[in-house]
Amino acid sequence: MFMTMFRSGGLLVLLSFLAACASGPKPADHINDPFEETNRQIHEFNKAMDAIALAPAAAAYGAVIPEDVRDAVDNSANNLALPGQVVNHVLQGKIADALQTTARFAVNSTLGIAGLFDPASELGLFEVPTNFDETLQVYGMAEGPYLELPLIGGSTVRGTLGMVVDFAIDPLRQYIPSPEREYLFLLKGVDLVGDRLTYSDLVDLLLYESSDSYASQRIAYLQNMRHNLDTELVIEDLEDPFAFDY
Amino acid sequence: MRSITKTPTLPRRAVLAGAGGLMLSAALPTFAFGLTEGAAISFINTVMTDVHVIINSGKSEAQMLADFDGFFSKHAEVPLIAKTALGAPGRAASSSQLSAYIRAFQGYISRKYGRQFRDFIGAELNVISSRDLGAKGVLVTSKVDLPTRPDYDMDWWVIEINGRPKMFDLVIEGISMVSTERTEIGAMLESFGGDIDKMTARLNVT
Repeated sequence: MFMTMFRSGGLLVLLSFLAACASGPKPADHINDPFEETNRQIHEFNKAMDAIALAPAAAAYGAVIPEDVRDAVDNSANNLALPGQVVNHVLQGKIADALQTTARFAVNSTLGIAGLFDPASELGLFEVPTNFDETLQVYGMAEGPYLELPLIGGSTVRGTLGMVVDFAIDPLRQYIPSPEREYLFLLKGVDLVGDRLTYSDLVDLLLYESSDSYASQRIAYLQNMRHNLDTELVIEDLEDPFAFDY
Repeated sequence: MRSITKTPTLPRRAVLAGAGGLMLSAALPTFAFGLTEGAAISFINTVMTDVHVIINSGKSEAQMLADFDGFFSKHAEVPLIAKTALGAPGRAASSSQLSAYIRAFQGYISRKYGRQFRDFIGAELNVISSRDLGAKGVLVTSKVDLPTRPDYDMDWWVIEINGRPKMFDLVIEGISMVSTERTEIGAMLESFGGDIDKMTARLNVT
């Protein structure tokens, strides 16, 4: 953990540089999509992959694996994400959140038997989700153009950069030797299938019941991301509800 | 907003306003003050009570969806939501085209969102905070606690129409119903080459 914190010092320099790219808040349904043509091609690929692989896998997972086991997989994958979240809370200067997340990781990794259970939530030590996308936002970087990434789905330029950095700074990667590290990848993959199952109603609605699934997924991703990153609500930027009172 | 440990910032009036508060505010004439945060919160509590009455009624799905149609016309400003979803193309429409579209839209959102309200069985709604948006109404932020799934954030955008509070938008985990439907109606209209009548016919069977 210490080495990671030390390396994060270099990140702070990078972050203050990125703060130069700052921009003000934007309306909640603001869309910046100059790469729409390419994004739409990737969307069709992703939709096909969902139809032939992910959706059937999720249905099978739900049918074959008991709910208790699925919950344990989900808990475990969430637990392994916590050390990276601690690094991001520290970088954002949110020390209370960093401490809460550290305590949650300690409790669930021990009492929770390597993260299979979640006793921390019963003690009030809830997850405070964050990532490097949020860290970049805290340092003032704008989200940039919307991107749809192959096999991953909706993102932005900032979100994609954040994902790469999150992978690089994840403390677990420094401490867990191979081949256990590879098993963790497998666990994350299984958890992804579980998430497709948990949110099947929403995903089906977006992908298969919308007139334009690309546009529907894009607005849902952007609004949900802005919500999760605690983007400040600016009343002036809210649309006028009476604008179309014709 | 996201941290569960944060202290709720309910305005004092909201604590005092129960069902009685709502009746009182409905009985008073509306002055230039507009919609208060307390009135918006008691309105949302009334709305949730009505949702629970419908989903716990034990009726068939078809009957429940019919009840949700009545629910939406009573509590939501459907004509304005429909026109906002349609946007500028609606200005060129005739009044009969527009009213046919609004009727179709009402049925469409009642079926689509009524189905989703079934998730509220056993759910508890906790108001977290409210924010006065001035002429744009009041935003009420709440958390929906579900017995079996993770809780989620739900914001209610309330506006005042003829002195009464009405829902303008429902925002679930940041995803706005108005934005979603603007995207959907825009795409549908485009797929019919801008023909509002054909789109209305499609909405009636969606």
